[in-house]
Amino acid sequence: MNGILTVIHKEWRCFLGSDRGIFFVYGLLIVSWSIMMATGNGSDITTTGPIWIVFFSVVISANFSNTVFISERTNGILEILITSGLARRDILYGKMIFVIGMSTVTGMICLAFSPLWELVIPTETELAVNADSLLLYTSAVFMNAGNSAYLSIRMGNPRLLHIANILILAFITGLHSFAAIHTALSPVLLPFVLALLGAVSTVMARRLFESEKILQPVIL
Amino acid sequence: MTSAITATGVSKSFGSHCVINSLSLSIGRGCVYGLVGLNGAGKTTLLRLLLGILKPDAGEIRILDTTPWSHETALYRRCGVVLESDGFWGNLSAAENCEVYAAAKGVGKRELASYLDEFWSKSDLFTSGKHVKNFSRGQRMQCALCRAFMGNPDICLLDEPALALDLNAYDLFKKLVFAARNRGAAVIISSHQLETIDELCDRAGILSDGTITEISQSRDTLRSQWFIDTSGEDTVARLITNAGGTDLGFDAGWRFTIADCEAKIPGIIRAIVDAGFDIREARPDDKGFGTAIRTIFASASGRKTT
Repeated sequence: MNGILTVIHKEWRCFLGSDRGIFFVYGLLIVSWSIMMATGNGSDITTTGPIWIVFFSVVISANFSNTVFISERTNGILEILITSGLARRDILYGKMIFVIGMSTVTGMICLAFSPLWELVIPTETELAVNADSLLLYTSAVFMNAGNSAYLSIRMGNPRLLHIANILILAFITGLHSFAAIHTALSPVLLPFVLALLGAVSTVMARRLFESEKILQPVIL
Repeated sequence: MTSAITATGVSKSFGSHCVINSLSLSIGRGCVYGLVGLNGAGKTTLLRLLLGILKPDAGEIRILDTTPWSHETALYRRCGVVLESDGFWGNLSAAENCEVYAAAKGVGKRELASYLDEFWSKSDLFTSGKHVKNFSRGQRMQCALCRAFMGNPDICLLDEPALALDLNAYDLFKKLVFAARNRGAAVIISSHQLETIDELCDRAGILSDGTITEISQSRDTLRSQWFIDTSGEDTVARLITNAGGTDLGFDAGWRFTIADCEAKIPGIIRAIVDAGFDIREARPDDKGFGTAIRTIFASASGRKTT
């Protein structure tokens, strides 16, 4: 547990030490996405709505997983970190918790902001920022974090992992939306599927973290 | 001497390319071992095998009686490492980076402060608060060394540790290595800088064709080559031979090898002076590991070209 806390603390300090421009980008993301939510794109959780929430989760978590997973592997820091006395599982879980935590907080800020825009932007559709959308967002973030952990080690060029993440999520939500047109789906189905896939990729990442794959890759 | 690092019949291949081939190595506590080899010889691969980052295809590695591939945190806490990456986060200051690694190694704040005070007080790297991303290459290497020797490790595996160090930093590096050796740590220094190997190491080996060729001469034997700048008369050669020296010839002075030089050299000097000859210079004609390594490389490349 101490190891996990050490990793989370380290990631938090690194985040605070980021260039100021990063915080401006996050601010911009929150404003733009909360407007998008407020104007109705996230209103229907069972049909077209999920794609926006899920896509937002990729955009947000990609920024965190980029520094947390990819950079450390490509610049060789991960190799040093695993020989520093921290258990590899603690490194993995610490990083995942940080990505999930930060992405969730950012998403919640965004979701919390969106009702405010309704006051200034007239919308025809009813806004549905509720427990379902939060659950969907969090499960998507969990899957992104698990995927990022796994793919950052698995892929020869981990910089491509965000594209892979988007494609995977687009495929799943596409299937879900297609099915939702033809039959009534439970609002917890998609979050459940995403969380399940997140758990699978976390287990796979856990195995890869114990392997030789953790070595610094050659980026072509 | 208790063995701290043991590799027995270790092999490692990447695809069809065999990098380490039935390599055996034993390094005792309190020994500084120099590892040299041409680019691509497998030095970094060997260090990664010893650290358990890579798994050997065959053979066994024991570090402090533990298999490194088991990835035990207790083992890593006793190891200090310098690899290709300095391992520091650019967004943090050197002190903040050290705090992270200290927490990982289980080094308390007081112990860390005491270590920084003892060895790094002359350096402002850890007090300036400057982010590591603004450091020069040499400064980053100093940070890496600081991390490697933190917490009094029993094993130090250092890959090109003297790279880009300035004179003061190099002196500090020597101090850290000798302090580690004196408290019984086993240190491996992988380097292309033969002067570093020569100056710091008790033993040295050349990694070539996947195996280690230990340099057979010990440091004492290597250091027993002497040079005395005096008359070229045969009488002097006889005096040297009578004292147990082996004459290597005269070239602006007499070169010879001698065992137990500390005891015998004063006698030789006294005998030469008593015989009425002036001595302009007397010094160890230090051939060291560097010369031995160059000789072996030269003969190896000669074999390959013929």
